[in-house]
Amino acid sequence: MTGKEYLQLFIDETREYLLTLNELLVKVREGDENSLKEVLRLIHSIKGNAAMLELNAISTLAHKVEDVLIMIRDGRIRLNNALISKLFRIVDLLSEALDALEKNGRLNEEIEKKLRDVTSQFEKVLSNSNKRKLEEEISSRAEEALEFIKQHKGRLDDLPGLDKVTEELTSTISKITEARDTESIGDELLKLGDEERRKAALAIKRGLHLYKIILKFNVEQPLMTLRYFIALSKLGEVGDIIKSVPSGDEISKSKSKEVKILMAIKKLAELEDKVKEIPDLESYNTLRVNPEDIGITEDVLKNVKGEGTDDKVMAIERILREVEERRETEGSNSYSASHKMEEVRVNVKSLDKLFNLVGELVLIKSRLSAVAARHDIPILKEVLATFSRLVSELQDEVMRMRLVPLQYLFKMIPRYVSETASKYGKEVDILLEGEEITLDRKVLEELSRPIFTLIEVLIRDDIEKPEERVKKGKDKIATLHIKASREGNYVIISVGSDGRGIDVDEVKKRAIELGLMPASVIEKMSNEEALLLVTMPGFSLKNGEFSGLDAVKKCVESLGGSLEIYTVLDAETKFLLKIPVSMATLRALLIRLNDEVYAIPMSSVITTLKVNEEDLEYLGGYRVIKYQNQVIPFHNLKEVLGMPNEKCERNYAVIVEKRGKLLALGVDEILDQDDIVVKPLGKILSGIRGISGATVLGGGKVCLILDIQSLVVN
Amino acid sequence: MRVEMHILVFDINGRLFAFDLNYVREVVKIKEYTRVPNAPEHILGVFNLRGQIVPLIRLSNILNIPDTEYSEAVILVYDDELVGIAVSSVKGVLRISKTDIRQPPTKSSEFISGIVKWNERLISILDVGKILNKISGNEI
Repeated sequence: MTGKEYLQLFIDETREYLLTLNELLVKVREGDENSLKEVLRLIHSIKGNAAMLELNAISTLAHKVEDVLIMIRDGRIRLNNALISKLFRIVDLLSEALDALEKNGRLNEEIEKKLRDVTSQFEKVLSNSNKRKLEEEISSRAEEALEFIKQHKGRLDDLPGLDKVTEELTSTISKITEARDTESIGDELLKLGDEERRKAALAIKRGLHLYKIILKFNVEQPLMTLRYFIALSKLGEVGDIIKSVPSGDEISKSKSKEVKILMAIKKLAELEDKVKEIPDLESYNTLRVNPEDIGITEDVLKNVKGEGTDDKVMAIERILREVEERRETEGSNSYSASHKMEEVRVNVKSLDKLFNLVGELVLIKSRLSAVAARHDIPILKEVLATFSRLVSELQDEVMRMRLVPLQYLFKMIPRYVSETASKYGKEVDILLEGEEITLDRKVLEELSRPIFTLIEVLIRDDIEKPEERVKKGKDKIATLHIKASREGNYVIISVGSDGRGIDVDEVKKRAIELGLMPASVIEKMSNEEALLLVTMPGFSLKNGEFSGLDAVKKCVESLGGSLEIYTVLDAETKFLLKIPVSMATLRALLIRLNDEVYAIPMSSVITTLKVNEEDLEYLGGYRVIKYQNQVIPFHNLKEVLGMPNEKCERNYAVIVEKRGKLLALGVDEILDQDDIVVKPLGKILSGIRGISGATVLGGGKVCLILDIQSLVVN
Repeated sequence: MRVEMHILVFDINGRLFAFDLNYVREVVKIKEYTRVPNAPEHILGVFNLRGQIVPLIRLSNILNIPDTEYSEAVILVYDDELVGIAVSSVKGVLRISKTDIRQPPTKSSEFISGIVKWNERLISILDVGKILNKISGNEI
C-alpha cells in the first residue's frame, strides 16, 4: 500500500470511529461505564494510527484525551457537562480534520491550530487534576499515618511528643481539605477587574495582606441579603473589601448561602474577631492570597499610583471625584425619594377602566371629525384640532402607563422549557433576548399562551432527540432562541429552534390529504404561503406534529398582530410574531346580523332581551316594545343598516341609549362581551354614518364597531 | 432617450387595465372581507391585511364597466394609507416606453390617462391619483 492508500484507510476507519464515538458519548453522559471504556479504546486506536502516519497534531490530542479519560475512569476527575461537551467538540474537530486530510492530503494550519488549542485545554484539565491528586495523596498518606499511630498507640506511649505530632497531623489534613474546597470555589473571586486590581495593589503597597474569606450562613433569602450587608460592613471596619462573590447587586438573587470575599487586612486575628460578630454564621474559612495569583506582580506594584510625590495631585483629584460622585448619588437619592412620593399605587381595574374610557373618547373624536367634515364651521374645526391633539396625548399617556417589560413573561420561560423538554425527552438550551422591551399589560397577558404553545410545538416536533442530533452531526443540546425587538409601534418576537425544520412539500401534501383547500390552489402556493397552512384549524403532519398552531394564529391576530413562519430543513424553524405595542381597547357587545358580526360599545348598551314576535306592538305605524314599564321604539338593526333581512330571525333586542332616549335594536344573536382592539378605518371610510371603527376578530375577519349615536333610525 | 416605466397589468371582467407600478405596494388574494353598511357603492368592504384594516374598492361604477367576481386585490399606497383595488386577476408587470403610450379616445373615462398596445390587446393605464381622490372625496 502507498502512503496515500494508508492515509485513506486511516480516514475511513477514523470516520467510522467518530460515528460510534458520538453514540457512545451520549451513553457516557448517562453514566454508562462500559461505553466510557469503549470510548477510551477508540481514542487509543486513533492515537496509534495517527502516530503511525505522523499526524502529530491528532495523535497528541488523542493522547491527552486518553489521559483525561483514564482519570475519569479511575474516578479522579468528575465527569461534568462541560467536559462532555468538550469531548463532543473533539469529535467534531476530528471530523473537520479528516475532511481537510481527504481534500488536501494533509492538515492545514487552521486545523492544526484548532487541534493545538483543544489539546492545551485538555492539558489544563490534567494539570489541575494532577495538583489535586497530589494534595489528595498527601492528605491520604497523612490519614494513614494517623491511623497507624492510633493502632500502635500502646506501644509508642513512651515516645515523647507523640500527641503533639498527632494533633498537628490532624490539623494539617483539615487544612488541606479546606484549602482545596476554598480553591475550587474561589476562582471567580480572584478574577479581578482593573479597578479592583488597582485597589488591591494600593492596599499591598500600604502593607496590608490579601485574604480570601468564605462565609457560610444558616439563613435563607431574604434574610441572607441582610446578613450579607452586615458582614460586609463589619469586615469593612478592619480592612479594604476588594471584591465579593456574589456582588452587592447579585446577592438578592443568589440562592447560595455562601459568600466569598477578597479583602486586604492588617492582621488575621483582627479579622477573625470581627467575623465572630457576624450573626447567623454557620462556619467561615480564611485563606491567604498570593498577590501574583491575582495578577499583581512587582511591576504592577511599581506602576500603581499611590501616595507618591506627584501622586498627591492624583489623590486630590480622586477625593474631588469621590465628593462629586457622592453628591451625584445623594442628588439622585433625593430625587428618587421625592419621585417615590409622587408615585401612587393604582388598582389594575381602575387603570383598565381609564383605558376603556379613553378608547371611547377616541371614538367620539372620530365621530366629531366626521361631523366637522360635513359642515364647514371654522370654529368647530379649530376646537376639534386642539381636542384631537389632547385626546391623542391622553391616549399615549394612558398607554404608556400600561406598559410592562417582557421580563414578566420571559422569567417563566426557562422552567417551562426544561419541564417540556424532559417531558418529550429532549435536551434544550434556552437563549432569551430583549426582556427589557415593553408591551401593553393586556397584550403581554394574552401573548403568554401562544408563546408557550410555540415553545411546546418546537420542543415536541422540531427539536430532535439527542441521539438523532448527534447522528446528524448537530450539537447534542438543541437551542431554543426567543428574541424580542422593537420595530416602530410593533414588537417582533421570534421563537425558533435549530431542529429538523418543516418540509414545505410535506405540508402541501398533507393539507391536500386533509382537504383543507383544493389541491389546485395549494399546488400554486409559494413556499411562504404554503407554510402558513400549518396554522389552519385541523392541520397536523403525521402523528399530530405541528398541530395546535391555529390557536396561536387566532390569538396573535386578535391582538392585531401577525404570524410568519421561516424554516430551513434540518437547520431551523422560526415563528415571527408581530404584535402592536399598545392597543386602544373598548368593552363591546358582539352581535350577529345575518353572517356578519358587529360590535356595539358597552357604553351605549343598557341591556339585552330575548324578543318574541308577540312582544312587539304597533303604535302609530311604528313598532314598539315594552321595557320596564316604558314603551320604547323597536328597530330591526338589519333594516337600519340597509342590510338584506335574509332570515328575519330577530330573536334578541339590544336596548341602547341614544341621545338620552332608549331604543331597542333587533339582532339575530347576542354573541359575547369582549375587550376589543379599536382600529382606525382610515380616510376613505371615515364619515360613514353609524360606523366608528373596526376590530379584527379571532379568525382574522374584520368586525365593524357601530356608533349608536350617529346611527340614523326612522 | 427612451423613458421607460413599469406598469402592473390586470384584468377586470375581461378588460385590461394597468397602474403605474410606483403606486403599487403588493398584490394579495381576496379571501374574505366585511361589507360596510351605508357605504358608497364603490366600497366593496374592508379586509384585514396583517392586522391593518384596508378598504376594498371596486372600480366598476367609476369606470362604467359591468360588475364581476373579484379574486385579487392590488394594494396601493395613498397618503400613507393602504387601499385595495379589487380585480379579476393580475396579469403581471410590463416594461413600456413612455413614447408608446397613446392618448385615450376623448369619449373614454376621465380616469384613464393613456392607452398602450400589447400583444394585439389594448391596456388602459389608470390615473391612480384621480381615482383615489374620487374614492376618498365621496361622502354620503
